[in-house]
Amino acid sequence: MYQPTSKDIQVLRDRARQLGAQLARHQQGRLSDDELRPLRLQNGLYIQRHAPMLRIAIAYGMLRTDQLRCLANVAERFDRSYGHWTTRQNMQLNWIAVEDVPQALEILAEVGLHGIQSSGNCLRNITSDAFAGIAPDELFDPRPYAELLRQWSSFHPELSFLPRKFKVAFTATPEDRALVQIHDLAFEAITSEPVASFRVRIGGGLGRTPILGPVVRESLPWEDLLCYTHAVMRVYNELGRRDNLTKARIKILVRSVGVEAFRDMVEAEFKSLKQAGIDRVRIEDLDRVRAQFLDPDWRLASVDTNLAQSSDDPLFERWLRRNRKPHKIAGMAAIVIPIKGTGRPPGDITSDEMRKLADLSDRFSQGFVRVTHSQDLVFPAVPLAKLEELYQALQAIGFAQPIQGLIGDMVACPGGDFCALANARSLPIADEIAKRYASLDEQENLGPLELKISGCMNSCGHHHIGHIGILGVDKDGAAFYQLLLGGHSGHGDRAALGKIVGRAFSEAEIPDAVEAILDEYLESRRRGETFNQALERMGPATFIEAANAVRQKVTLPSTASSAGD
Amino acid sequence: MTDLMIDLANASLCAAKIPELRFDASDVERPWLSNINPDDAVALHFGRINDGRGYSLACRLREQHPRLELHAIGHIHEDMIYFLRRCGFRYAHLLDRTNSVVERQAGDELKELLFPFSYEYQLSAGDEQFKKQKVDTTKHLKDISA
Repeated sequence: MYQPTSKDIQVLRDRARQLGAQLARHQQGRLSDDELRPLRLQNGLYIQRHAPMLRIAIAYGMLRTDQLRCLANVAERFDRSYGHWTTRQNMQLNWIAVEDVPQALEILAEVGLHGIQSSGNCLRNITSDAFAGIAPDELFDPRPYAELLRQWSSFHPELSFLPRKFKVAFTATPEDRALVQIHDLAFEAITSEPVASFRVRIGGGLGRTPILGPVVRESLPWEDLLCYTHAVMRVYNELGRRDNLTKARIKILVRSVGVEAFRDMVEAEFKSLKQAGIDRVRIEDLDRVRAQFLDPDWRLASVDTNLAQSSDDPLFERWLRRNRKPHKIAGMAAIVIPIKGTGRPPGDITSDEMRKLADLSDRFSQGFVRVTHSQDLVFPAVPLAKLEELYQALQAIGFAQPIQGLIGDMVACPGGDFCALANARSLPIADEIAKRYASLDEQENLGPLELKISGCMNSCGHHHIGHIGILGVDKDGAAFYQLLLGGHSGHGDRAALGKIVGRAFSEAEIPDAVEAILDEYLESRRRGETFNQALERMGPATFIEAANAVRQKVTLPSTASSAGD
Repeated sequence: MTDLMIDLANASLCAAKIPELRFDASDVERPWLSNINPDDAVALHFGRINDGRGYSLACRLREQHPRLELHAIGHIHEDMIYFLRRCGFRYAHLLDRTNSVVERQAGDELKELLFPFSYEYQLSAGDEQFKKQKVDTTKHLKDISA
């Protein structure tokens, strides 16, 4: 992963000091609330429902254990001793005091962490495939390119007050594990190094208007990465809507002018910037960034690549089957550690747990950790010979659940318990469903299933791309939940947006509705058929009927009967 | 608006003088663009703090006319001057505000506001190197790894 230079660290210190001065000017009446808002948001500092929230960027999901321990310490010292992994490879602290944020950022700066552009109407934390650099199916490691763009976009003076937020993702594999189709701008590798090039998608996103990003450029040479991004963002900065917040994302601009016209505008701007020699990148520049990347010592890989299969413990075998992911190095494994389970909001982790996992990563994964889009962690460099020992160590601290990709590995935003934007609570729904499917056998029996829950239209829980999605809506002050079926994130198959099925359910009904749908699946599926395959074969009607049957179990308030229509 | 303006290039204050040529930074229709002369003084008016169109417009103008004298007027507060400087504005006319760097003529704080970072990751339209044009725009990448 990228090792920050002394200059990088100094810039992070500068940034923490700058925020402290801005907060002081606000206190002195020199900055109004409205003037401070974009400045604090660009440091990841929100004012939430109950308290301020600090969002800390984990650049393209890569962490070292000293950083994980620092997060643990900061959460303990300034928050309530826990943090929350988000669906965009960030950590959120939900109870930090505003006046403590500059000091927290100063401490985080020393290990290369920050909140820079993790929020606000600017280019946000750049994300990537959590298995980048270790995936056997990738054309090349996309992280140095993401780092090039991260540096270029940091405090970019022209592009810090965009019409709306702007999310960027990179991937270098045919399978989309970086959710590229739901990003404002996404780069997909199409040719290998040294002549690396990317397919460019622009205008994807979820929210109120979910759109899978169209391809705007079939091939972009890597040297033009910064210049082309500049062109895209300049066109968006100048032409994106600023009169209506819900229509301000770039996807609305692309849709309103059409992909062809948008492409023409970007190409004209690109040509102009390129002619001026702006943002040109050379191989030396890429090599310098690449030289700052430190990988695990792959020589520690096990020589005997069959060791992992030699155990007699069926629970270990099950854990391996679910949580071990393919690795480009023979004798090494990537292990997913789900941060899920009953009584645990998806992605929530205590300071104590962070430290324990950091210790295990030092023992088994050379101190490297990764954060996934599904709110889990990954140990990316575990020798096969150490797998059973790691499994036992994880089991001892409650992190050996063999549920990766199963219903227990569900995704949920913090919802109405924390977020000021939410219409409904996500976490009680997640917990109730987790309880009903606490049995590992039942989860295995259901097979691969992505359940994703958002507390509002902003879709931080990615409900549109869940096989089953749940969206919290407000109806006359009461929380209701719409069900979506048939979405897909792109893992293992093409991405698809789920469709809303019928009227919304009450908080009491929604877990029953999910259970009824899954019961119907178990009853109707053919041998080996996944939930989404069954849904595609049978169509949604049977499942909707099963879900609607639960409505009879409770009496709805009359005002809520039309919710979600 | 005070009777002083900030010289963004020199981190100093001087007597305010707003150019005759004034345009709305948020205006997307810009028929006047083709009539700008290379040595003109032009004021761009910022109507709202969150409207970033003025920054792109300034960069665009600087790319075409490196010698242009750009002034920022309108809703401009202290914490915007870093962005203005880097996008090629030469002067900023701040809103009149008690205890501001302009009112207190606080030179040290003005420097901090204009140069908050010990390092800048990208070349931009307000940078000295940029004005020379055709410079090595990737200098930042070399520096950061040095």
